[in-house]
Amino acid sequence: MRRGWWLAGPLCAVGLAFSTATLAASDNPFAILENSDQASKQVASDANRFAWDVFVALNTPTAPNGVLPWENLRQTSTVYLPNGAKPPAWGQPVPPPPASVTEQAQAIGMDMNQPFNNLDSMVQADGLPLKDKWNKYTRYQILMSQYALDYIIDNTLYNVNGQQAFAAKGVNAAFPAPAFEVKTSWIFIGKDKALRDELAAKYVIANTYYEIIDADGNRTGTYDVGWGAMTGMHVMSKALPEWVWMTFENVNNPAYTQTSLTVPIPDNVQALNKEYQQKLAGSVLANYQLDGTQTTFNGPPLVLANSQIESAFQHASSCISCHATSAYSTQNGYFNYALQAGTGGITYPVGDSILQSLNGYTQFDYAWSLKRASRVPN
Amino acid sequence: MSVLSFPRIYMRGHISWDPATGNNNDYINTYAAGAAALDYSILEAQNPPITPENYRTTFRDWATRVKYRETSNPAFYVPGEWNHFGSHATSFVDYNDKVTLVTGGVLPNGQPAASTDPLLNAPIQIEGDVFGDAPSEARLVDNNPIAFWTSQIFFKRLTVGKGDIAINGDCRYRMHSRWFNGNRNVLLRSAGVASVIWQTGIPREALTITNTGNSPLLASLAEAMDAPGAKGLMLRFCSYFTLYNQNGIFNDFTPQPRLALDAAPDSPEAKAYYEQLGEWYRQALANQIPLFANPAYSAVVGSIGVWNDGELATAPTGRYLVPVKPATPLSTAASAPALAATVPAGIRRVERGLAVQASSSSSSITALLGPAVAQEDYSRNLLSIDLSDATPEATLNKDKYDFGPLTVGVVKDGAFTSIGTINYAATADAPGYDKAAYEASAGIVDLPFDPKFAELLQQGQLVVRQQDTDILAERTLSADSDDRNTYIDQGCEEAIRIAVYRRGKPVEKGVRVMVVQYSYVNWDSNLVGPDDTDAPLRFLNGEVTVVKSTNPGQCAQACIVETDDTGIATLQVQANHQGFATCFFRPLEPGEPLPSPYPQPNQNGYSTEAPEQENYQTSHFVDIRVMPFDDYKPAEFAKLWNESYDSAKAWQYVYNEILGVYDMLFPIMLNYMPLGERARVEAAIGQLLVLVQQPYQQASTIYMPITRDLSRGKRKVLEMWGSLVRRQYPPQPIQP
Repeated sequence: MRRGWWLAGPLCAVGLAFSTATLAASDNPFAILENSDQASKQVASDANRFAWDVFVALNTPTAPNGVLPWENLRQTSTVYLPNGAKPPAWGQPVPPPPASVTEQAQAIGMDMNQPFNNLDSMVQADGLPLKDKWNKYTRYQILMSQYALDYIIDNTLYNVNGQQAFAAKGVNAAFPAPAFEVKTSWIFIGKDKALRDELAAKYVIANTYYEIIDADGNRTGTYDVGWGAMTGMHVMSKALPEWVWMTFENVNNPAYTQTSLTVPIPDNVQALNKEYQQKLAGSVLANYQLDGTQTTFNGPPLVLANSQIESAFQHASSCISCHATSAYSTQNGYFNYALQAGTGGITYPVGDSILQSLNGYTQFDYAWSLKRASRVPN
Repeated sequence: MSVLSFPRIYMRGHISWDPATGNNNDYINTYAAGAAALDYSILEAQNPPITPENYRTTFRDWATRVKYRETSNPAFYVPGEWNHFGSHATSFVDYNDKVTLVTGGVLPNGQPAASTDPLLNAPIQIEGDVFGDAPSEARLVDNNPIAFWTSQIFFKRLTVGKGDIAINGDCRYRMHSRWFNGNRNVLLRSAGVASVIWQTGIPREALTITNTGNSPLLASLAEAMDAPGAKGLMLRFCSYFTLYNQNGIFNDFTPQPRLALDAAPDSPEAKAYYEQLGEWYRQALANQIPLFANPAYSAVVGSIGVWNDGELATAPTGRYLVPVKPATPLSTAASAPALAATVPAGIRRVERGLAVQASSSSSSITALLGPAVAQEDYSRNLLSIDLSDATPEATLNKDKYDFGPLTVGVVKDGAFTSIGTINYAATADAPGYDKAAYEASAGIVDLPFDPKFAELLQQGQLVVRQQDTDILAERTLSADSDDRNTYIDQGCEEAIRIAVYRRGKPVEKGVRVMVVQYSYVNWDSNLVGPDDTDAPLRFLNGEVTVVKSTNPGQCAQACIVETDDTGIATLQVQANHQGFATCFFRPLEPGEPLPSPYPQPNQNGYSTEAPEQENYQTSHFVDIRVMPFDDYKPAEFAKLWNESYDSAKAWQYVYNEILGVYDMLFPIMLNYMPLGERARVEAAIGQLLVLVQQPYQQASTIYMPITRDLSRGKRKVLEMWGSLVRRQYPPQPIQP
């Protein structure tokens, strides 16, 4: 399937119609985020419209091969390497997918010109799983931009040892303003072409795979390969000091996964969704909605959730508050953002009061992807 | 006072029970409860053997395959039993037309609440602690999973109504099943034969009353709770008529297993049922269908009233009536069909120790009633008797047995004086106990009496008679405890407070209470003797002495404690050996010789053949789980880590020593934190560390494990391991 050709046409037109920032710098589809001065102004003007423009930009191919721009970001599987090894710098070649992945992909006729996305995570933000309609676990992936990667490499934050050393200095991390990260959530279709075709009319489809981890946490060297349907996308941009938090999900998720969005989408965001969805008519992107955008701790909105990534605590989900706890203590390790609720419950940070709990921790500037780092063996 | 006084609010509906049944099945004991581990003495005898080396790949399939028990009660079964994917959730039913509601009430003046009172038809619910962003469900947890008399309901909040008419109360005392009446519904299956009483008291300061909707009933309750001597709100309800395999009837769950009530346990129908159930279990475990609950449902009647000083929070307080002789249904009663006409052959059986005491022919049917409690109001000349656990049902339509009119009277100096009559069907001048009356007033009958009997009532023994036979009689001294189900860690002590009453009033200082201890290993109970070094508990206070058992040549250790000036006797105990104890206690009159305990309690409840025998229906007791003695495990784990710095070995220890048993017995965790997958448990370590903390064991509805059998030693290991996970396994020594 050459999803790029059918996707690229209408979206390019839509993108040009929407925003000069989105596609004007066609050689850099991330300009809307990495031109941080302009980004911060757009956020101040209309954060939700900025979010939609970002989403369109990230999901609109800029080249005939149909690769989605976000697929050119660095997957964390190529940043946080086994044994804490130093990752290749931006622009340097990264290891290709394992041979068994490409063999399986070729065997079922996957488009080998498209990138392969390693869906190397199987848990939501709270560490709990989510299942799709077919009782299979949904999967997840985090990617980062050049500025984010450079900062991580420059500060040796790609392994736990480096993070510990960083934390020991007691100086909080500070990513550069153009940095951003993307988190995507997926229905793993696998090799079922009929299902792929069904979902392709509704979802962004990509080449995906993951390594099977055995029950004892060991890598098996075997891979499950197939198509994936993107159910959701978080985007976090350092355009503001406390980052800009945007989250999208597919409107068909209630039919294909075992959860749905329970946090109401504000009226103004619903109106904007309608506007963009109408303009995107004919594209699968019209099947996505902005759940909301957060720029401050105390809102509005105070809570912001994606049903695919925070399904079990949507009304206690705040992107900015939860990510504010990305922090490390040489004594306790990573901060535990699962909080006691009352005398016997469990909940998650909302608002800015959580900041008072970070004494003794070195803050990692909202970047929880750092938690994926491995330790350098002795 | 209590719910027997006015104002009083009635409720009716159903309650759902969703226990995971893999740890307490009735047929094969896969769970070594004392150690909170899989019982390999049983599992290794299976074909093929299930061993510590292969259980991760063999147990689940084995637990879903049909087995056949050939012993005294032949039966087909699967080891996972009827609800393998249970979550222990419990809630009042709110499904389509099956809604648990306020159905009526009585105002302080004794008049029924108006049918227009806005509190009527208000929904009632219990809910649990916050999980993420919403309340979890309340939980049904047995203190001893092998036992049927140690059930508890953990909950966080009681809600009645909503909006402008509402009661919201925070739980201070979890509920405990009491007055286990195994003679209640002989037509039903398994625990369906039984009824129990549940009660909780919520202090006034933990209550929020909203009555902007102007309910006179609610206003009167609020006012009464603010009166001197009132402590707060009391909820008491009886659960009875329990039905299994109700998916699609009380909920919209699928699949919908079915087994006819008259299918014998060893019948082809039972075999087919378990084969289908097992097949669904395997499909769910293979992710072909979702994990599914198959809850049981009980009918519920209950009352809400005022909780007062001197009353226990979780046990009915008042004049305690116990069964003494069976009642005989009227064979010609048209409204209550004779038992033999409706009970299919083979349905009467003993299961989980429940014996149906009704005989097999209609001509000789007799039925012991369950316990009751009464309270007199001399300002109104009214005697209120809570019969909610007492009167049995005769039909699948819940029609009550018709025993004819029951006479309530007083025995003094050997002479019986009638003070009133309870009819089968209520009449203008007498209350009733038939189905309509029972459901309308939650089994409570309010019996007016002539003021001339007031003095006699205060001095004599209350009895309820069928014709000339005493079927219920007051036990002058009674006792009970809010510490009904307790957990003690290795080396720890606990104080058990026993409230003693004489005719419903707290006794004076110095009343003796004799306590004896029974130890439980699987389904066997043993009276603890003076030389039993393996007894779960040691008595730390009172007079520890030796008494003769009723079994010649057997002695028992007894502890004599005395009441203080509030009528409370305190028993101090210490954990001595991992396992389960039930301590029975008997208050004694001055000069009364120490009674002889029986070698085992009577599992069938009160027996006319051995009326003094300890039993789980009419006797007074507390259950104490002495947690597994695992204090050595943290040092063992630290040694393993410090010698290897090997995260794989650390995980293997955590899984095999702690998580594995829950991974096998509670597959519902696959929906939350698959305990057999290291990567997933590590990913959820933040949640795990919050949910296993010790304070949560006492009250939280989302405590891990829900079954509350995590020992202190194992908890410490989980915390040590969790710290390693949070720090990405630093190669540094750790301390236990």
